[in-house]
Amino acid sequence: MSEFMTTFRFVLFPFWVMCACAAILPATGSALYIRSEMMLAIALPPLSAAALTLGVMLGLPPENHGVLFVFSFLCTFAVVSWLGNHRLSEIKRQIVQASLFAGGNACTHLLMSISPRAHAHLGFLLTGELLSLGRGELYESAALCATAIGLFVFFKNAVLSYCIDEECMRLRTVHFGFFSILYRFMITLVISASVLFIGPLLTPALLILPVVFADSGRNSIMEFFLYATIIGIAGSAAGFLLGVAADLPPAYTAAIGILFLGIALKTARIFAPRRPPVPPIRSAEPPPISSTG
Amino acid sequence: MNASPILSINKADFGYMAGLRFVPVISNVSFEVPPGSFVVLEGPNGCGKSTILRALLKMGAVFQGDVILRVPMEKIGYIPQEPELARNAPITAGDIVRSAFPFGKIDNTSISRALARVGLENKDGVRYGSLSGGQRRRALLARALAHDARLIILDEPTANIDRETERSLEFMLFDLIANGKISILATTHAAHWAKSARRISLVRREDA
Repeated sequence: MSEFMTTFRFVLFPFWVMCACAAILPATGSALYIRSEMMLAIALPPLSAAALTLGVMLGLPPENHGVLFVFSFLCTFAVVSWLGNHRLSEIKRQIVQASLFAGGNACTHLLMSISPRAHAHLGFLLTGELLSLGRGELYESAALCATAIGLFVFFKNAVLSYCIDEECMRLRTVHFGFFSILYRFMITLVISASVLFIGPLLTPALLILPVVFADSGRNSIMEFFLYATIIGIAGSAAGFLLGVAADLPPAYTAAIGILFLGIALKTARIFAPRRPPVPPIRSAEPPPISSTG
Repeated sequence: MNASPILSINKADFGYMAGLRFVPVISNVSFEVPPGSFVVLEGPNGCGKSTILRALLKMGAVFQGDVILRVPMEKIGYIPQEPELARNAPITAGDIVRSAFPFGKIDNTSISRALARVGLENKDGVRYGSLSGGQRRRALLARALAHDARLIILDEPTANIDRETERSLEFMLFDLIANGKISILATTHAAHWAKSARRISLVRREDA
């Protein structure tokens, strides 16, 4: 135990950076899920990783997270804006996003194999290592986390309206254009920054897995957001600690941790005592309310 | 006293933009929606009923010609043809009503009252996806009532619902216009629905 604590002391910064990302990514994934845009959670991390690799290959300083992040963010935001502005059918949009996933992954690996510099500085992101994160990254991730949560709390109703029915919001508010850009900006900001901190493996895991397990049995949208966040933080933290204890790459074990926690919760739900049955929803329509005649 | 119509359309064309070119779907449309009236646009599938609505709501379609809308956009309630909003997500009927207030607030009592007004008493916490097609339309109608809509636009409200539900929806809509504050514009291809509403027949363009 004391040996574990000694090791853990050396990975405190990576641990808290991952927790900061885990506090915002599941809620981001929940918003994407409600808007039926879950494919973005798969498409954007590889794209962002490819942009990071390209940036380092082109000579951007890898130690300067700010410059690297801005480059990656702008590339990703350009694609997100293009997707948002083009009226594509559902299936066409999915194909484009799937090709972004395939293309992004291929580009990342290709550019790393071409550029030893990129491989030396960013290769750890692809191998699931998080342990090189330090105090600087912790402050940056904490600032990102505070900004994202602050904006969500401030614009809570607007975010929910936008996720539930974009067309209604377009009719109801003159700020729709501004809000739509802000939403895309924040989604890109959170995903690009997370890829820079915890890599393109753990980012989609935190976007997708908590949402899968949080959905069942939730009857309120806020409960859903909250539950996904709790699963994300608890699962990834447990997985991370397990990875440190077993000397395994923590990004992998954190993702597996979310998966195991989700499965455990699902199983517990199956065996848990049932609540008293809720009165069934009437299948027939209720009678019309009293007519004026 | 004759109040000005909420919506006046005089010899307007409705369609879509293909690049910079206007592609009409339906031409030479003229009708009015007086305050407190129930106007139904009827016609065969593909004649441009939904295009008219989408152009009025600035949802992709456009128009050329004389169109005067005398209510602000935020006072329009829209119930789409397929009310499948985030159907698989854990969203309640109450959340649907709440979504009409992106930059404001609505208390739970007002939400319950709006839902009760359309016959969805005690359904605030019921998952939207588990409601029937007719009930989902009612939830959207409650949302329009909650934000005090003066013009409610329904796109094919009879799609995918049974005759009994059609009938109760029709009664409810007539009940809503009774106080003269709300007007309704709906499209349908069902000749039997809302017979006593003011009906505008649309014909398909020969070159469509």
